[in-house]
Amino acid sequence: MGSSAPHQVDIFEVYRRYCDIRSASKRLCIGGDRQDDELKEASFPRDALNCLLKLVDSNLHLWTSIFSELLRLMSRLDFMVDLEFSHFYDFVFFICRENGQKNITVSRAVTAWRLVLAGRFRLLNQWCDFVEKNQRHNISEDTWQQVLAFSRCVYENLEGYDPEGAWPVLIDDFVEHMSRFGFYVLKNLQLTCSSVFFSCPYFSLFQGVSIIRS
Amino acid sequence: MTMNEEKTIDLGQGWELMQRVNTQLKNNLDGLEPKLSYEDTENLSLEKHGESILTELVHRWDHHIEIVNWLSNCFQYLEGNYISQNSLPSLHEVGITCFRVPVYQELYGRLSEAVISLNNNLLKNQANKGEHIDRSLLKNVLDIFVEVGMGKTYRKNYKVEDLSRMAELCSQIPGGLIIISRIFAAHLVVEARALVEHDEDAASNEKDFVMKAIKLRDKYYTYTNDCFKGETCLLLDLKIAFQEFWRKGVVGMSCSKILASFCDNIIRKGGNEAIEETLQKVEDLLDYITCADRDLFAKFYWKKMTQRLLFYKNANVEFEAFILTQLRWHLQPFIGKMGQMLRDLTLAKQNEVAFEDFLSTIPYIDLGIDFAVTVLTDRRWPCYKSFHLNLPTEMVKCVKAFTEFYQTKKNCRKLTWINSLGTCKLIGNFESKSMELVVTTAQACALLLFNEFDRIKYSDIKVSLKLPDKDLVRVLQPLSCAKHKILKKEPNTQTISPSDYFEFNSEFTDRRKRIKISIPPLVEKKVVVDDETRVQNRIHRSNVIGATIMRIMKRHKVLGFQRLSKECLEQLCSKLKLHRREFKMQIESLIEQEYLMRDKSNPNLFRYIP
Repeated sequence: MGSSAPHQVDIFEVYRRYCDIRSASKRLCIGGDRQDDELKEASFPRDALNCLLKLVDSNLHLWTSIFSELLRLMSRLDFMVDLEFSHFYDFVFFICRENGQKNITVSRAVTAWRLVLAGRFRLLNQWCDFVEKNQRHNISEDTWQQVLAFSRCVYENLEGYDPEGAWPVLIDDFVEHMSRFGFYVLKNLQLTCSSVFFSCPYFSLFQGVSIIRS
Repeated sequence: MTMNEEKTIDLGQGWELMQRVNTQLKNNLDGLEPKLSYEDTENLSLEKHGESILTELVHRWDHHIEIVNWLSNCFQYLEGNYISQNSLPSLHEVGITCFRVPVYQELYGRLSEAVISLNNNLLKNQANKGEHIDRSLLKNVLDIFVEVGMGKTYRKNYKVEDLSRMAELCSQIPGGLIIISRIFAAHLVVEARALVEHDEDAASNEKDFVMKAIKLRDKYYTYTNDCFKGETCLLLDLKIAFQEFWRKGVVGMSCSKILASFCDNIIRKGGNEAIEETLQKVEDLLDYITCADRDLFAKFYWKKMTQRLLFYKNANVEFEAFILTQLRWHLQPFIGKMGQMLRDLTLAKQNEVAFEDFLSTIPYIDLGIDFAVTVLTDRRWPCYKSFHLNLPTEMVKCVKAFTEFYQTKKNCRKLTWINSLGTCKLIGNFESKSMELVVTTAQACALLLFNEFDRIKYSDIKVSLKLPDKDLVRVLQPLSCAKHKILKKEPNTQTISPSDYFEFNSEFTDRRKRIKISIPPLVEKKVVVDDETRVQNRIHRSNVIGATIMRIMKRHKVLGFQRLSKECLEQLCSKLKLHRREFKMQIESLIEQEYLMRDKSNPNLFRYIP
C-alpha cells in the first residue's frame, strides 16, 4: 500500500515476491527451536502476503485471466524439483483467493486443479467431477494442500490411501465414492490394461460401457 | 397454448408441419423403413430370439429416446406451462410409458429369458475372454430395464431360486454384481419412495409408516442374505439407499421424531412378547440414521418419556427401565438423565408411604384430603413453568405439611412447586347427581371459589388466584366454553374476555360419573420447535467436540491424529457418540480458524497454535 499509484506487476513478479516472503520468514526463524519455527512461519508472513494480494487485485484488470497467467508462469518454471512444485502449488491457492478471503470457491479450485495437476494426479478428472458435484462449501487451504499430498501417494486403484490417516473429509468422501462405483471393477481389470492413463476410463462404467479398450 | 400462437400460424398448419418433421426424423433413424419404432419392435421381435432380440431392443430404445427428446424439445413451451401447472406427467414420462406398454408387456417373458441365456453365454465365454460386446449389451439392456421401470417387475417376478441363480451368474462376471446391486438398490429407492408418498395422506400415522419401513428392510435383507449370500457390495448399496431414505424423513418430519413417536406408541401399549422383537427392528432402523439424528432421537424419546411418566396413568417404571436397557446405545446422551428420572419416581412412591407415616405421628395435623407429591430432581426433567398460584387454605395446609416432612428427610433441599403439573380430583354436587371431576390444580382453585360466591367476575378470579391473563384464560376456557360446561359464562360466547361473569352451572350433567377436563396445550409452532432443536443440537455437538479437541491439544501441544481421536473418543464417550466424519470436520474448522495447524512434514500430526 504505497503512496504512489500502484505500479504494474506481472505474474512473474508476483510469484517472485511470494517466494521471497516465504523464504524470508523461514530465514527469520533460524535459531529458535524447531517447534516454534513452524509456528512463527505460519503467522509472520500473513501481513506481507495480504499486501501482495492487494497489489494483485489492483492489477487484475491488466491480466486476461488468472488462469492464463498461471499457464504462462507454469511454462517458464522448472518443476523437476518436487519442492519447487509445492511452492508453486501453494502459490496457486494464494492467487485464487478473492477479496482477501481465506478460502477459494469450488469453481476456481476445480479450474486450478485441472490446470496445475494435469499429468500429476491420476484421478484428476474423477476428483474434479466429484468436487464439482458434491462440494457446496469453499475449499480451505488445508484441503487444498492435502489434495497435493493425496495426488502424490494415491494410485488409480486407490492404493496408497490410508483410511486411518487424517485426510480432510472431502478426500475421504471421494475415496468412498470411488470405491463404491469403481474399485470393484478395477481390481479385476488391472491386468487387462497395459498403460496408465491420467484420465482412466474405467470409472465411466455407468455412463456407457467403455470398460476395456486396450 | 403452444408456441404456434406466437408465430400466428394456425394450429392445424403447425401440427402438419410438426408431423412432417417427425416422420422425417423417424425415417432417418430407422434407415429406409418408415415405421413406428415401438410397434415395429413388436413385429420384428416376434421372430427373433436370444441375443438378437436384445440387440434389437437396445437399438429401438435408442431411437425411441431420440424421438422423445426431440418432441420434448419441440413442446417445451407446453411442458413448461400447461403440463407443469396441471401437474400432468411430463412428456418424457409419457414417452417412456409409450415404450413400456407395447414392448414390455408383450415381450417381457422372452426378454428375461434372453437375458438369462445371455448371462449363461457370458459365463462360458469368460474363459476365452472373447466377446466383450455381449457384456455391454447385457449392461445396456439392464439399463433400459431400470429406466423404463422394468427393473421393478424384473426382480419382483423372480422367485428366490431364480434370483440366487442370477446372483451366482453375475458374481462371476466382473462388474456384474455392481449392476445387479444397483438395480436392487434402485428398486429399493422406488419402493421406499412409494412408501413415503403413500403415507403423505396419513402422515400422522407414524406407527404404520415405521412398520412398513421395517417390513421393507426385512424383505431386502432376506433377499440379500438368501440369494446373494450377504454380499458386501449389496449390503453397502442397501445401506446407502436406506440412509438416503431416512435422511429425507416424511412430510417435513424428521426420522428421529417418527421413530421416537413410534417407540412411545408401543411402550404405551404395554408389554407383550413381541415388544422385544419390535424394539430390535427399531434398533436396526436406527443404524441408518446419522449420529446427529441419533442424538435428536434420544432427545425426542426423552421428551416423550417424561410425558408418559408424568401424565400417563398406566406408566410403569419397571417396564420403562427395561426398555431403556434395550435401547441404551441409541439413547446415550440422555440415558443418565432418564435413569435418574425413573429413580425419582420410585423414590416418590416410597416418600408417599413415609409421608403418611409422618402425618400419623403428628396428631394436630389433619389434612382432610388425600395428598401425594412427586419430587422431581432439577435438571433431569424438562424445564416446567412454575407460575405462582394462590392456593386455597386446604391446599396451603398440605403444602406446609409436606415441606415440613421433606425437611426432616433432606434438610438442605429447596422445593419449588410446579403448579402447572398438578392434578386434583373434586366432587361436584350438581342437581342431578354428584360427579368426580379431574382438573388441574389451577382449575380446582378457581372452582373452589364458587363455594363462597355464586357469581364471580373475571377480574375477581384473577385477583384471587394471582394468575396472569394468559394462563387464566387457559384455565377457565375448558370449564366454561368447551364440552363440559361446569361454569355458566355471561355472555355465553366461545372466548373469554375480562368483562365476563361466571356462575356455577348446577344443571350440568353427564352420563359418566368421572369427568376429565383437559386443558388446551400451549400453542407452539411444531415445525419451528423441531428445527430449533435440530440446529441447537448441531451447534451443541460441534461446540462440545471442538472444546474437547482444544483441551487435549493444549495439553499435548503436538499430537498425532490417531492419538487425538482416541483421546477425544475417551473423553466424549459419556456425553455423545462421536462420528469420525464429524470429528474430522471439526478439526478442519479449527485449522481454518487457526487454532490448530498441520505439521509441514507429517500431515497426520497436528500442532496447537497458542
